[in-house]
Order: sequence, then structure tokens, then C-alpha cells
Amino acid sequence: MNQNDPLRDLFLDAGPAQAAAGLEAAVLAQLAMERVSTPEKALIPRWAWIIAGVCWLALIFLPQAGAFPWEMPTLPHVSMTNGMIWTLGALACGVLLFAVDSVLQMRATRIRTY
Amino acid sequence: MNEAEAITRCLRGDAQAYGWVMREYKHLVHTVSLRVLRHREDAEEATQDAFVKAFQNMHAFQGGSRLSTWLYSIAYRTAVSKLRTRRKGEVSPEELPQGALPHMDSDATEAVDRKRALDHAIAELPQEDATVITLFYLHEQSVEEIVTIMGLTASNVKVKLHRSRKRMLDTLQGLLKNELWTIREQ
Repeated sequence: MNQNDPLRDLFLDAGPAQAAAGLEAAVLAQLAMERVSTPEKALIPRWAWIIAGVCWLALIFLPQAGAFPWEMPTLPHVSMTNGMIWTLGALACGVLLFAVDSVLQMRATRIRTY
Repeated sequence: MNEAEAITRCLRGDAQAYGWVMREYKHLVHTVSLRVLRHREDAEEATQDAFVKAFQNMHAFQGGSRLSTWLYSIAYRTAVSKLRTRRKGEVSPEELPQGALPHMDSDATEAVDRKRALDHAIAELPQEDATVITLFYLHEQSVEEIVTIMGLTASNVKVKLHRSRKRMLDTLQGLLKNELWTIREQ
């Protein structure tokens, strides 16, 4: 651009149009509102929950199924009592995972103090 | 705070850093909106929407261009979109003077006269031409950057620049003839 261009001087002397005085506050308020109204994506995705559910079911039923048509690593045989422990343990893991997910999600969606 | 630091902090959701970005660019972004919409309230609304979109899409800013170019691009697209959605049949609420010559007060400062004359000359241009020439002179964007912002071809931008520059010089020569300012054709 030519530094001696009279149009350039005119434009620079005139300067830009003045934006509204409360623009920053309005934008930040709108961003805060959209954070509240838009649910954040879950940190642990749905597919991870499905895999966890399948594993959980496998933990419960695998030791009792006994015979699969294909070779699978077998867990140590568990009695009904042990089965209950596995079930309760898996349930506890599920609840723990859910709690962690909820806490992380709460932190992610928390409105920042502007 | 510099621009790189502000971007990094914005990506972490730091609103204070985004406040800095807005303070730096709000008037220039607003000018882009105003050139497209030619209506102060609509332009203010479009500017606000553009800054909201920019913050929400900050992760998409790759750093391949200047932050200003990226912001103007968002502002331009937001304003054009708003222009398209204006109700059909509604008279375009042009605020900027067109047709009539701006009133030049004899005791007004030279700067005010020049600004009025400039506003008038810009208002006489088609919307795209007014945006191109504003980006080029006021925002000091290159032809390549204007291509990125407006989605036009480089040759189209050059033609618009040449045409609008000539038209503006003609208008301004008539308006500012009593001043010492001499228009020099480059």
C-alpha cells in the first residue's frame, strides 16, 4: 500500500466506527448464558459405557456359563457367593465411574466467574 | 498481554483474555458489520454475534492468518447472513447519507469535514465495494487477506478496489475542493 495515498490518510484520520459501549459485557453475558443452556458433551462417551456394561455382564455370566463354543480365557471358578462379590464389585465400579463422570462434567460446565 | 498469549488463554476459556481481544478489535469488527449492514443497531447486533461465534470457535483458529483477518472474516459472514435474513419487503434502513451532500459547517473542524465527506463517499459505493475498500485502507488488509475474509477472487477484489477508489476520489474531490487537501491520483 502506498504510504502517500490520500485515501489511506483519510481512512486512518477518520478511524473506525465506534462499537457499542457495553459490547464486551453483552458478549460475555451471552457466552455465560449459552454455557448454561447448552449441555456439555459427556466426558465418558456412550460407547465407553456400552463396553463397560458388556464387561460387567461378562464378569457376571462368564464364570457360570461354563461352556463356550470357542476357546476363551476362563476366570477362576466362583461359587454363588463369589459371584455375588463379583456382581457387587462390578456394580461398585460402575457407580464409581458414573460419579467420576458426573464430577468431571460438573467441572467442565461450571460457569466461570467473569 | 500480547495476541498469542490472549489466544492461548482464550482457548482455556479465560474470559478476561477475550475481553482484551474484544477491546482491541471491537471498533474495527463493528466497522466491517456497519459497512455490510449500513444500520447501526443491526451492525451492533451482528458485531456481538460475531464475537460470540469467534469465542466459541477459537479452537478453529489455526494461526495461519492474523487474528484480525480471522475476526473480520467471521464478522463479514455474520453480517452478510444477517443482511440476507432481513425481512423481504422491508425497506433497507440505511443510516448513512446517500444522494444528498453532507452538510459542511463552515466553523467545523477540518477533520470532521473530512470524516463526513469520507462517510458520504463510502455510502455511495455498493456494499461489497465499501467493505473491500474499508478493509484495504482502514484495516490495512492485503488483497490476499480480503480474499480470505470475503470469499472473492483476487482479481475481483482488485477490480472492486480500483473501481471504488476512483469513484471515491471523484466524490471527495467535489466535496473537499475548498480544502488544501489535494487528491493525487496514484
